[in-house]
Amino acid sequence: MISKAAFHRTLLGRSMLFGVLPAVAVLMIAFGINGYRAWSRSTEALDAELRHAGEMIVQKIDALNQRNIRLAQIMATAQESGQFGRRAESLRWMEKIMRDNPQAYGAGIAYEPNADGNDAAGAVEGVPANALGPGGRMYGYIKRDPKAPGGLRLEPLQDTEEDGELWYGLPKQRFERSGVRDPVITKPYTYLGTDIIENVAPIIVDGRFKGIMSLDITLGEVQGTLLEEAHRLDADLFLVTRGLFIAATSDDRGGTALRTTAVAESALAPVFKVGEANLGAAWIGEDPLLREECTYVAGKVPTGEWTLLLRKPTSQVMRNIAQVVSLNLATGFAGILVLVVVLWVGASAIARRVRTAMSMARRIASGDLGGGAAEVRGSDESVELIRAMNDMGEQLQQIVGAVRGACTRLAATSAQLAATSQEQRATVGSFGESTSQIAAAIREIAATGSELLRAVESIDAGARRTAESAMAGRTRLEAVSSAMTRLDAGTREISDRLATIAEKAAAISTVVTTIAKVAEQTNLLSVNAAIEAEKAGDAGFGFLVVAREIRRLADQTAGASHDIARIVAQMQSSVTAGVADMNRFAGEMMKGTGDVHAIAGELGGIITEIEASAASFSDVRMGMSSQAQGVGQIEEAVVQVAAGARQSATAAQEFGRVADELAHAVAVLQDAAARFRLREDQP
Amino acid sequence: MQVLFTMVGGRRFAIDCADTIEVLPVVSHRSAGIGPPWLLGLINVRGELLPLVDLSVIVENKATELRLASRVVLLKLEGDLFEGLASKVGLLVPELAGPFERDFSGAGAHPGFSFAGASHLGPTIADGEGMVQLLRCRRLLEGDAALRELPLAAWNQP
Repeated sequence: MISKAAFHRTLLGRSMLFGVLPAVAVLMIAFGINGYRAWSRSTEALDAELRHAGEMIVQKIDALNQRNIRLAQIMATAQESGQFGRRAESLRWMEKIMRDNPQAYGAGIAYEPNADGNDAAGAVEGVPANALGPGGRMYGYIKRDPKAPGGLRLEPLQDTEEDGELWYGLPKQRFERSGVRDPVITKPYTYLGTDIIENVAPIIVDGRFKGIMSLDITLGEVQGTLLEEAHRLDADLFLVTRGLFIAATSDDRGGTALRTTAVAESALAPVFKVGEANLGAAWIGEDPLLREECTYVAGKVPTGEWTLLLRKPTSQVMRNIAQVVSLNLATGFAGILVLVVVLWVGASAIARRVRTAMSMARRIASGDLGGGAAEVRGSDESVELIRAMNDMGEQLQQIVGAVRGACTRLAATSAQLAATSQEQRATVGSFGESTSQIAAAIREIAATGSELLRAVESIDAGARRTAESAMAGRTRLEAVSSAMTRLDAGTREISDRLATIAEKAAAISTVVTTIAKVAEQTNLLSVNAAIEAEKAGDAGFGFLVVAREIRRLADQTAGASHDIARIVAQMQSSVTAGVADMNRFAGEMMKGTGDVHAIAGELGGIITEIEASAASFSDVRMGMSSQAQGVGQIEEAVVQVAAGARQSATAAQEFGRVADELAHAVAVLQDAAARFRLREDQP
Repeated sequence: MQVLFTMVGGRRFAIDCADTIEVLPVVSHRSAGIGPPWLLGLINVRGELLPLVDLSVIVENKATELRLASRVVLLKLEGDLFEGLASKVGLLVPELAGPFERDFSGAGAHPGFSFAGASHLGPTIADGEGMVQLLRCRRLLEGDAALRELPLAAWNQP
């Protein structure tokens, strides 16, 4: 089916638009740029060319001038070198030069009046009168005359006061005022009807101005030289000196009128003014004579200080450029045209094939897989596309057929899957529950084990602390024991001293006993005496008195000794008590030391037991740790199992869900497959 | 009368000087061995062997605690002491003071208690230092039935 859409929406239209339009635009832009560049290059090239040409012409003219000047100088130098005065030789020499230099118009020789002293000689052999001026001075001019024999004619120099100043007076003044003996190029002037320029060289002999030699050229000669160049360049050239035109190659209308015309009075005056300021550069301005835009180049000829002006109308330039650009454009458009045609042909073919592919795709999209393959020839991508579409149709046929078959089988399978997943979910659910219970029990065990472990550890710590305290206690006990030993030694000392005291007391006691015995005897004596005196009656009264005195004395002694005895007895009893106390104390201390040793021994026993128990505590702790570890591992395993059970549950759920989705997808697929119409040989 | 004071068991007793011959220091005695507890044994007084009797045992039934002030009072006893065999007996006293003049038959004297075994205890008077009881020395050795059971004849025999 052929699309009725607008041209710009078709494949062909689009490829044309997107192929041609950009190409056209690009080409035009390229041509435009090229044209502009060609134009600017041409203008630049033209300017450069003109400048270059101007330089070349200037050099050429300069060379001409130099040559002419040199010739004049040669002639003057010849004169100065001995030719001066030899008039005939001079004339022959001048003739030779004229013959050798066809561009020269004339050669002149003018001596000062009687400068060589030969004026009076007048016309002699070799010195015709034509070479003589007034007074016989050497004043000759050999000029070119085609009608003369040999082409040269000798005639005397004609001068007016005015012109003579130019070619004679000027060099003379210059030398006589400033000693300058350089040759001079005169400005153009008319000599006997011919416009010439003279190259004049002064003759200086013995430091004195003796005359001049000149070599003349016509302006026409210069004009001719310029004309050659002008033709070559297809431009106009103007040569001016000292405000006078020497030559102008523009057409005759301006040419002859311009020669020896004051520049200031000509229409080109403003141009020359600009030129004087822009020597060596090119500029553009409107020409007053041609009334059109021109490119100018101005240059200075060094020798003679002539100014050259080159003029070329820009329209000529443009013409050249326009030719080039037109050629480019024509080429471009031709190319575009070819491109368009080629694209059209190619694109239409592709468009046709694409339409075929499109119709095929539409047909397949609508479900009609039963159509046949399209015929194509060729090998490009569009052909490949159609071939691929053919293959696709065929493949789709087969696929859809297979899908239909598979769908039927899948539907049965998915029903089975759904049933299986239900069973799985039930199983896993119960499994997960029991593992949760196990995990809870394990956690409790682990918690209990941890508590036990903590308790054991705290007990162990407590036992260690006790052992440490016992150790400390034992140390202290040992200190106490040693203190008590020292104390015991001290008490023994004290005991010894007390014993000493007791001895002393005993000694005192002995003495006292003696005293007491004496007192006792005295007492006995007194008592017995009293008794006897009593028995004796009055006779023993004196005796009784003495007896009483003795008794009193004895009583005193007895009393005193009794007191001493009592005191000593007290002392003794005190000492004895003290010693008994000391002994008791020592006994207690020994008992105490014994107790301390016993306690130390017991503490040592405790420490040993604790250390022994520490080992068993470590065992217990290790056992508990390993138990806790084991429990932890069991817990981990159970947790993992529980996680696995949960995962299985989730997976079973997923599975069930997937089975449902599968059944759903199979149904959808079946519906989709049912939409296709196949060839009769497919199921 | 002139008496000698002695203190036994915290009680002051007086001994009549008329009964005493001499006061001697405490001398060692040869123990009597078996026999009544108040009989301590024999003492040698300047070659004379005399029995020694403990006052504290008689009065207090407790042996005398010998002190520096302890004396032996030689008593002269007449009568059939020891079945007429002994006329001097040494009496061991814990301490002795005197002789002092005291009147035991005055108005303030208490006659004493008359119960068996106490015939040696005489009247009691109070003086500046407390109460003092007179000892009847003859009775001391006579009064006690146990005393008479002394088999003196047994060991007075050479």
